[in-house]
Amino acid sequence: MKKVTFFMVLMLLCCSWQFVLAQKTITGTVTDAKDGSTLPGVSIVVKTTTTGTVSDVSGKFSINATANQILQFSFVGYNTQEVTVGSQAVINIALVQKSAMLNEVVVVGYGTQKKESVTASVASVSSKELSASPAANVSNMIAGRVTGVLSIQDNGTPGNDNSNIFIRGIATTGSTQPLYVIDGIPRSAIDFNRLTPTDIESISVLKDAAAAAVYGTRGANGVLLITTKRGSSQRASFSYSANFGMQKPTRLPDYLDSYGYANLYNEAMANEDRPAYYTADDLQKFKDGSDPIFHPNTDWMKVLRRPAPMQQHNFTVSGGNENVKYFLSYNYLNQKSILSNNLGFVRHNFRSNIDVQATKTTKVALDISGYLGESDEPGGETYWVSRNAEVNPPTVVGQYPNGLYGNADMGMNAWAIPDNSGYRRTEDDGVLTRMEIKQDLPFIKGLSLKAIGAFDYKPNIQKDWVMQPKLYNAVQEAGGTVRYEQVSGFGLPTLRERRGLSKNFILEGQINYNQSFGKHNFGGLLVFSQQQATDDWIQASRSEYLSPILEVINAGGTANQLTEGTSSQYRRRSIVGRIAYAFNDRYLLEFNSRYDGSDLFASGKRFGFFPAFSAGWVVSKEQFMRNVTFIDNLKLRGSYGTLGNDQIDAYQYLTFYSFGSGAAIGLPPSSFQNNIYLSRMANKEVTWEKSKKANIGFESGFLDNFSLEVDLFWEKRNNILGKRGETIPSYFGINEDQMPYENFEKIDNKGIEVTAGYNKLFSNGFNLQTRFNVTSTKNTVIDIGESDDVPDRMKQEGRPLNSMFGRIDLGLFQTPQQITDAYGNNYPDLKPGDIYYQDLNGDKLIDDQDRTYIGTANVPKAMFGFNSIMSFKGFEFSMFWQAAVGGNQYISSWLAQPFVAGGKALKAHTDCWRPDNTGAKYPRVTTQSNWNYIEEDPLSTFWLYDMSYLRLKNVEIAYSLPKQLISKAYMQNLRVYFNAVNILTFSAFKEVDPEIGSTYGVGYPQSIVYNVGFQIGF
Amino acid sequence: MINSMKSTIYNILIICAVVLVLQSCEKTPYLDTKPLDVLSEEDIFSDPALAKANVLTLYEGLPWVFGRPVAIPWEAETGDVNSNYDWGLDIRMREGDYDASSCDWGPWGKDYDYIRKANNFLEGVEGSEFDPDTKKAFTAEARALRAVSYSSLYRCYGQAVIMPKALPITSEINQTLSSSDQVFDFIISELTDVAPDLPLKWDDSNRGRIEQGAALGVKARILLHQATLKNDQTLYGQAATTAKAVMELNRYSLYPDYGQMFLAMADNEEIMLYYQYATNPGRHHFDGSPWLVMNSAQSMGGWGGTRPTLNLVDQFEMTDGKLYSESPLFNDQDPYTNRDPRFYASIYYQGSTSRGREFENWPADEANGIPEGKDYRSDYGLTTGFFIKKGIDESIEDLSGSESVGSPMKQYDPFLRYADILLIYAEAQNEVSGPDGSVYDAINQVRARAGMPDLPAGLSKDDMRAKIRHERRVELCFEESHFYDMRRYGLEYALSVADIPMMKQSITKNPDGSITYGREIFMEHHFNERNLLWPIPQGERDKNSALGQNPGY
Repeated sequence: MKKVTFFMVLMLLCCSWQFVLAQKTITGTVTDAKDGSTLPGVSIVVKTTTTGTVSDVSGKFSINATANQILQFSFVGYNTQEVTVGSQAVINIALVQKSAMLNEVVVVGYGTQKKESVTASVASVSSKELSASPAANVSNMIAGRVTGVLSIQDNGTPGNDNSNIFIRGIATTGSTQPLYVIDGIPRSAIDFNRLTPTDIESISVLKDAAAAAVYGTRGANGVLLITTKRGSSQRASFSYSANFGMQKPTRLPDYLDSYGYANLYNEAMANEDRPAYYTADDLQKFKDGSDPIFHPNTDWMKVLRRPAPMQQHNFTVSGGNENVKYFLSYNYLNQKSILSNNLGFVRHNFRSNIDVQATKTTKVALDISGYLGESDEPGGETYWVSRNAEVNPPTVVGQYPNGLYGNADMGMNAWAIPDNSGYRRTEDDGVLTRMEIKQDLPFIKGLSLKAIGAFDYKPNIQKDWVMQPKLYNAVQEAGGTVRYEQVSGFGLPTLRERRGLSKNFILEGQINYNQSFGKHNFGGLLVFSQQQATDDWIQASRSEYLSPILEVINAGGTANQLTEGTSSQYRRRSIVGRIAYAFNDRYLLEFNSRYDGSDLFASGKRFGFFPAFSAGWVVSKEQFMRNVTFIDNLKLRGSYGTLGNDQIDAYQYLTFYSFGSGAAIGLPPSSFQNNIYLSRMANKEVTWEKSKKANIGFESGFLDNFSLEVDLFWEKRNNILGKRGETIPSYFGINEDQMPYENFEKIDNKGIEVTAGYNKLFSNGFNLQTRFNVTSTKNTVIDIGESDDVPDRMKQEGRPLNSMFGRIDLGLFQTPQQITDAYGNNYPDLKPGDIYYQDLNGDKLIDDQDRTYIGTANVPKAMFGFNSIMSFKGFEFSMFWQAAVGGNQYISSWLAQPFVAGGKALKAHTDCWRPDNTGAKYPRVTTQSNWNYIEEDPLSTFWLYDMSYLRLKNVEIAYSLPKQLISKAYMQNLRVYFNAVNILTFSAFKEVDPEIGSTYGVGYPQSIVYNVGFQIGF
Repeated sequence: MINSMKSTIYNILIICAVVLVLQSCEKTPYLDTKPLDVLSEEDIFSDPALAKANVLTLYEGLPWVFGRPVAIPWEAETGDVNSNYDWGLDIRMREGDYDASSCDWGPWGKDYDYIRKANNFLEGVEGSEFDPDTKKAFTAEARALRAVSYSSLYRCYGQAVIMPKALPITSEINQTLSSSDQVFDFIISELTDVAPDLPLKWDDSNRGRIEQGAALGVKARILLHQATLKNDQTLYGQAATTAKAVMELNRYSLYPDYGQMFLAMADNEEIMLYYQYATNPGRHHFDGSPWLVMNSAQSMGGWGGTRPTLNLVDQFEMTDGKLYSESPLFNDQDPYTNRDPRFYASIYYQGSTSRGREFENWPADEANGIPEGKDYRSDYGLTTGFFIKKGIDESIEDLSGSESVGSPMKQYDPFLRYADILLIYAEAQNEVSGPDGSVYDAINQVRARAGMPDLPAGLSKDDMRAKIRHERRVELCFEESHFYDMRRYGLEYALSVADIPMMKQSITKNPDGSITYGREIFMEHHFNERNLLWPIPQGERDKNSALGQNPGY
C-alpha cells in the first residue's frame, strides 16, 4: 500500500502546480490524450467571462487571460478540463474522451453489442489486462478480474493447474462447469486452459438468463466467451515478448526438525504415562547432527521447495490491407516443476486468423489454431511426492551421506520419487479450425447471411512409465562399519499407455438483420446450428519390462498385458433466435432464445425451448436528466428467463447392460462364459437441469471518471439429477449402483455483484485506472431427496450446498472437574488439555447424536478483486488484489494432530496444552489419534478453519522506452517489466495455501512466481 | 455490377445449402444415436447370444451357502455350528436376540435385486423378435430363477413383496407385503407353469443352468415346507408326487462317493442346482469361494471360522446304525471310531489326518509342560474340538492364493441335490401313507450310498418321521438344510435343538501322550418363537411404514 500512497502524492503534486501572474496571450495545442492527434473545434473559455475561442484545424488556439484566471476546454465526447493559467505562456492540453464505456463494444453470444445497449448481465475483461503479465494458464487470470466469477485454484501442477470457475457461484450438485465458447464455437475447458493469454482480445462472461439464453441447455452455469485477436488494415507489425520467471510454493507446512520432533514425542509419551521413547543420547544426536545415518534430521518438505524456472516466448505478426487482414502468433511456454528439472510442462501454441474481403459484399475468414501441451509428472504421480513428504517424520532418513535413498518407514521416500520412479507424461494436443463466409444482401439493407464450419481435432496421450525407486536400509555391522542393503526397487517397470482422440464438428447458418428507421432500431438473429462431438480412447498396459531402456508397449512382458478402450459421441441441433428493439436509444427490449435438442435424451424429450426477456432504460438520455450533470450515463436493466444444464451422462433413458467377468457355466471344471448384467436402470423421463434466473441491475458513470455497476440476481435450479437412494425400498430391486439418476433435486441461489471503477487520464499524461469488484452468492439446498428421518441438525436441505456436519468444540478442558461436569464418568481417559465437545443432547456421551451443522466446504461465498494500473511517461505500475471469503476447510492428519499414524508434527504443535500453557492452540499431545482427533471421523469445529484470504495476486512495474529513442532501432515499442504473482497471502490458517483442495494439505502447492520480461514491437 | 450480383446470389445459395445440409442427408434423424460403449436393452434383446449372456447373470442370484459373508452357514442358528469370529451376526444368531435393525444378514436385498433383473429380462424377451421357441425357453428359465429367489424370501421371511413386473422407479413405491401363503402360491404356480418348458438336461457347455428336474425339485421342497407348516395332507401329497416326478425323470443319481461329492465336478449327476463361483469382485467376500480359506483349519492355512458342535457330531450314528448313546460300538475315550462314514467326510476331529498330518486339538497344559496342539490356536478363539471338512479341497495348499481365490469353481456350492429329493419324497410320502416300501427305499438309497445299514423294518410313522429328520440333519449338514427344516418343524422342535447349550469335546493331552476326551458345555444357545422367521429389515420399514412386519418384531 505504501507504493499506492506514493503515487497518489505524486499525482496531487502534478495537479497543483500553479502560480498567479498578470494578463497575457496564451497559445497552445489541444490534442487527444489517447492517441495524441490534434483536436479542432474545441471551445476554450476563460471561466466566469464571455471571452472564448475555438481551436483551429490543427488544434491550435490563442487566448488572453490573467495568471489567476482559469481556462476551460470543452469538446463533445470529451471530458471538460480546466487549467489555471499561472506563469504559463504555452498551454498544451490533452483532452480525455468521456468514460470509455460509452463506445465500448461487448462480445455477446452470436455477435457483438455496444455496451450502451446491452440489457443482459455481461462482464468482460480486455486483452490489455490479460496480456500485461501472462500466466501459464488463462483460467487463473480471471478470478477477481471479472465480476461474477468465483474460483478456486486447488492445485499448482504445471499443465494441470487450472482454476475451478464458478460463474455466480454454485447452484447444482451436478457439473458446475461453465460453457467455453472460443470464437463463437463451443469448445472444451482444456481448449480454454491451453490458450495463449496474449492471443486473447477479450473474454466476456455471460451471467444472466438474457445473456446465456442463446446457449440454452448449456447456459445455466454461465458462459465464457473468448474472442481471439484479428488483424487490422495497418502495415505489418511484428512483436516479440519474452518472460522469465522463477516459481516457488506459496506456503508449505512448517514441520518440526528431528530434535523438536523427538522432544514433543517424548512429551506425548509422558502424557500417556509411558516412558520416553527417545533417550537423552538420541536427543543430543538429533540436536548436533553428529549421526546423520541413524539420527538424521530430514527436511522432507525440501522436495517441494526447489525454485523452478519458467519461461514464455511469444511472436506475433499482424496487419493487413483493405482486402486481407491477418493475425499470426506463436507462443512457447516451458514451466519446470518444483519437484525436478526433468519434470514440468511445455506448451507450443500457434494461431492464424485471416480475414478476406472476397467481394464487396462477401467476407471470408479462416482461423486455425493449435496447441501442443506436454506435462511430465513423476511416475508415482505428483500427488505421491507431497503425500509421502508429509508422512514421514524427520527422524527417518531421506538420503544417506553416500547418496543412497533411505527406506522411508511409512509409504515411499518422497525424495526419491521425482527422478527415480519413471514418469507420467500427458500430452494434450489440439488443432482448432473455423471457416466463415459472410454475405451481405445488398437488396435488403442490414440483412446478412453467414455460414460457419468448425472442426477440432484433439489427440491426447497419457503414458505411465512406472518403476520403484531403489531404497536402502543402513545396518550397523559389528565393528562399527555400516552396510547398506537394498530393500525396495527390485521390481521391473510397468507401462500403461492411453491414446485418445476427441473431435468436434460444427456447422452453422446465421441470418442477421440490423436496421434503424428513425428512432426505431431493430435487430434480429436466427441461427441454425448442429454439433457432433466424438471421443474415443484405447489403452494398453504391460508389466515386467526386462530393462528400463525401451519405453514402448512391445518391449514389455506379455503375461499380464491388458487392453481397454471405449468410444462415445454426442450430437446437438439447435435454433437460436434474438429480437432486439430500441427506441430513441433509451428504451431497450430484447428477446433471446434457443430451441435446443441433443441426443442425450429420449426421443420426444430431446428438445427444449429456453426463452429470456430483458429490458433496459437509459435514464441518462432522458430530458429530465439533462441538468443532472454529475451523471454521465445511467442505465437500468432487468432480465428473466430459463436456462438448462445438460452436462450429464448420455443415454440415461436407456437401460444399460455391461459385461460381467463371466459366468461359470458349463460342465465342470467350467470355463467362464460371457455374462452381461444390468448395470443401470433407465429413467425414461430424464431431462436437463432447469434454471430460472432473474437479474436486475444498473450501470452508471458519473463525475466523468467514476463508474458503478450493481447487479442483483436470483436463481432457482430444479430438475437437478440425484439418486433417491434413501427413499427407495430395496424390494424395488434396484441397488445403489443400478439406480438411475432422477430430476428431482432443487437448489436456490442468489447474490449481488458490484463493480466500481475510477479511470482518469490526467492532462499531464498520468493515467490511473482502478476497479474494485465484489461478487457474493448464497445457495440453499431445497431438495436433495433427504429422508424425513434426518434430524434437523443433520439436514442438508435448508442449508448451503456442501454443508459439513460434526461436533462443536467449546475449547479445551482445563480441569478434571470440567470433564466430569460435562460427561460424568463416561470418559475416564479424558484429561485436561483434551477438546471439550459440546454434548448437544445432554446425555453426557459424545456420539452421533452430537453432530450438527458446522459450516460449508471450501468454496468461497464471496470474492473481491481490486485492480489498479497507474502509468506515467512510460512507467507503469499495476497491482491486483484478490480476496475470497467464506470458504471452510477441515484439516486432518498431521496438519491437525501430530504423530497421526506415526507421522510428523508441526512447529505450531509445540503450542499444545500443558498445565503451564493453558491457553494453547492445540490439545495436549499424544502419540495416537484419540478423542481429540478421531481419524475416521475428524469433523469438528476444532479442526475447521476459515479459509478466507486476501492475496496480492499480481504486482508489476513496467517501463516503455521513449519512442524517439527506440525508433532509431526501427522499433515501435520496447517494454520491460518485472512482476510477481501471489507474493502476499493473508489468511487465518497459516500452514497451507488457503485454496488447497485437500484436508491434509498435500498436493502440488500454488506458486509464487517472480517474472522479468520484455516486449518488443517492430 | 451484374457479375458481383451474380456472385452474391451464388454465395447466398451456398450458405442456404449449408443450412439445408444440416437438416437432411441422413437416413435416420440426426439425434437418433445410440451409445457406442455400452449395451442397451435394445441391443440385448435383438441378439439371442447377448440375451443368453444376460440370463446367465441371473445365476448369480441363486442362494449360496459356502459363499456367505464370513462363510458362516445359517445353521449357526440351530446350534449345529458356531463361529469363532464373534463379528456380530454369529453372536446375534446364537443369542436369538436380534431385531429388525440388527438382523442384517438376510437375503432381502439380494433376492429382490435378482427378481428385478429377471423381470427386466422377461420384459426384454417379451418385447423381442426372437422366435417363439427361444422366447419360451428364455421366459421359462428366468421365471424359474425368479421363483427360486422367492423361495429364498419365503423360507427366510415368510411374507414378501410380490413383484411380477419390473416397476419403473417413477411408479408407486409403497407396495405391501403378501402373506407367506400368497408367496407360496406364487412360487408353486410359477414353477408348475414353467417346468415343462425347461430342458430335461442341458448340454455340457450349458451345464449349471436350471433344468426341469431342478425346478420341480425346488417346487417339491417348497411344497414340503408349506405342508409341514400347515400339517396339510394334500400338500404332503403334492410334495411326494413332485419329488417322485423328479425321481422318475431318471436324470439324476447319487454320486457314489459321498466325500468327493462336492469336489468331483465332472460326472456328477447328483448336484441339481448350484451356485457358480466366478471371479466377480464384490460378489463375495472373496473373489472365489470364501468357504475354503475361511473354514479350513488354521494349521491348513485357513481361518478355522466355523466350528461344528458336539451337538451335531453326536448325530452321526455308529456303523451299526445306532446313536453313540445306544451303541455298544461307542467308546467315550475313542469316540471317533466306528462312526458313520459321512462323519469322516464332513468333519476334522482330534486325530483325523489332513495332508498326511494328524490334527492336534488340545489346549496347553503348562503344569505338565505340554504346549497347545497345532490346531487348537487359542489366539483364534474358542474351539469345539472340530473343524469343517465338507467342501474343503485338501489338494489346494495355497488357500488364499490364485489357485483358490479368484479361480472358477473348485467345489460345488449345492443349492439342491438328489439326496435331498429322495429325503423330501420319503418325508412327504411317510406323512401321506406311512412308511411304505417306497419310503424305505428312498431313505435307504441315501444311507447305502454313505455306507450305512438300512433302517430297521417295521418302524411306525412317527419313528420314521424322526429317522428322516435325523437323516437330513446328518446327510445335509452344513448345507443349511437343518436351518430351514427347524423352521418348518415348528417351535417345539426348534426349542429342543436350538434352545439348549452347545456342547464341545474337551480334549486333554496327557504327559504319557495319550488323550482324554470329555463332554463340556461350549456356549449357551437361545432361540425364541419369533426367530422362526426373520424380521423385515427396519430400513425397509423406514422407507415404507405401511410395509408390515413379522410377528414378534
